[in-house]
Amino acid sequence: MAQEIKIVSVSIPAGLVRELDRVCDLEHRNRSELYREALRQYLKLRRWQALREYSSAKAAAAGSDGIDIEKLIEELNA
Amino acid sequence: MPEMSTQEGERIAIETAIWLEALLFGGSAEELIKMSLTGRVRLVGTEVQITRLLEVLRDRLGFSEAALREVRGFVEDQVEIVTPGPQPAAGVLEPLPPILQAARHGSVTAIATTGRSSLLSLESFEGIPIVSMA
Repeated sequence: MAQEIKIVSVSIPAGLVRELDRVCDLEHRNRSELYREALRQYLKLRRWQALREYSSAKAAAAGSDGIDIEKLIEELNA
Repeated sequence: MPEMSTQEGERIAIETAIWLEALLFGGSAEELIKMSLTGRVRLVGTEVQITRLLEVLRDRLGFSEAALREVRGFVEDQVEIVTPGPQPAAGVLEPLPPILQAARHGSVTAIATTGRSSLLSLESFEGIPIVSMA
């Protein structure tokens, strides 16, 4: 089933557009493809960073509780 | 000990502990995850590995159910899950560790482990290099 596509209008500095257009030429992709890919990667990275922040806090709390994180990693390797 | 150097489009089976190390500490394990975010490498694993990771996050580190759902969703988006073939009958042969099952059935070009993995002593498995993310 085809994905619903919405057309949006955004403002982008001309210099950045020129840079992105150079990448389009290099990779033989159109602007829409490149912008979609950039947005997907940004959203994934943001999602990962949120997980990292949560996990780091949990690791710190576990360390305070005397849990040996290095040992946990070794257990997962076993 | 061989260390990781990846090529564009490489398919990599990763040890479960790499996810834990990346989530908790970042470092080179996180770099590998980020390479998969940008499509530079394709990660390969098994359902057993994801389940084991979530068990540790829940039972040992107290992750909430919402956080576990988010981790599962993220990992499933980033990892190509392969289904291992039948395991040997009990008592005949030891079953392969999940990462090696992923490597065998996932057409991978490398197996990535943490620096402390016992698999590193093998150096390779069925011709696939085993490399450290240390």
